Amino acid sequence: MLLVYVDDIVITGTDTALIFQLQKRLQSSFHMKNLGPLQYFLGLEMHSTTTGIFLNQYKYIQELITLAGLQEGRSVDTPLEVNVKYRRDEGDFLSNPSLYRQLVGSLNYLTITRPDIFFVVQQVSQFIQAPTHLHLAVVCRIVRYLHRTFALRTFLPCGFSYSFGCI
Amino acid sequence: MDSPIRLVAYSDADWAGCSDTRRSITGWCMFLGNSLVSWKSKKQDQVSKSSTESEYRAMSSTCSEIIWLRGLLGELRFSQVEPTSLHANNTSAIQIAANPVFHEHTKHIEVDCHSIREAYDACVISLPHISTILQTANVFTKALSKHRHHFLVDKLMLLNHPASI
Repeated sequence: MLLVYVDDIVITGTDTALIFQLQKRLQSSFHMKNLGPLQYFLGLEMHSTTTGIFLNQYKYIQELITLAGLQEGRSVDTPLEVNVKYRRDEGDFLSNPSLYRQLVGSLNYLTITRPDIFFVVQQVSQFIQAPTHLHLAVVCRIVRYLHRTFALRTFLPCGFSYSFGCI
Repeated sequence: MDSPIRLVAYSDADWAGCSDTRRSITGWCMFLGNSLVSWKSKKQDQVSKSSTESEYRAMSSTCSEIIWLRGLLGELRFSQVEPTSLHANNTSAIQIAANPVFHEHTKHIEVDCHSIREAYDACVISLPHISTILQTANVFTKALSKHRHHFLVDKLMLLNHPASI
């Protein structure tokens, strides 16, 4: 399988020889550099082991925490408070909603490797048009949860051997 | 080629989870072998009159994803021969899908939702019951306690991996 994003290409498949052959074929027609086994692609970090593949966005999380300005804050165990429902027009509207939008957008991208925050990100995404201080507090709690759990990675255990390569 | 790796799905709903509209939240996730490959958390597009109805709507949208994923896997030559297990924790909703008799409480549910019955009859899906405790998709429908949250995070195969960085 061949995946192209602008000028980055990922090739994957069950046949290593075939991957190698495809690389050679592409290299003969286009000017490109072989970066070896896949490690980093669009902010996603891959770590391949004999038992499977780990996916994480460690660097992305650190940037997100910095963007929210919560490097020093206290961290929490869960992304969302239990038994609290959030409403559209609860609290004072933010005078400048751009930080909220930026954070929620980034959190959305982070759900690729962190499905554990998917529900809460779905919740805060609903208020993106007119966020209030209360909604921003929810977003900050997610970031504080990430601060605590940044080491969590998606693990894709191998059922059979798979190899990844990237150019 | 018959794939030794099976697709498995979990479907859950939080009835009237949205306090603004009283609509329910659909949550589902799918594993290929032990790997999480697809998941969703979404507000349903209309109000459900019962929790069973909201679970049924969730199962129906999960079923659509299963059909699509089975097609994709077939194209990649990992055809799923066996029906895909769609684990749900609401026995009444399972009954509505598996038993195509007239149900007084479901006569208002739109036709498209009932496509799950056809998938069940055609052995595209099977409908095993799962206890609420083991329902992995629960994490995509509501806020959970610390213990419960981390129990399900584990099931999603999110691990602490200290080896790198």
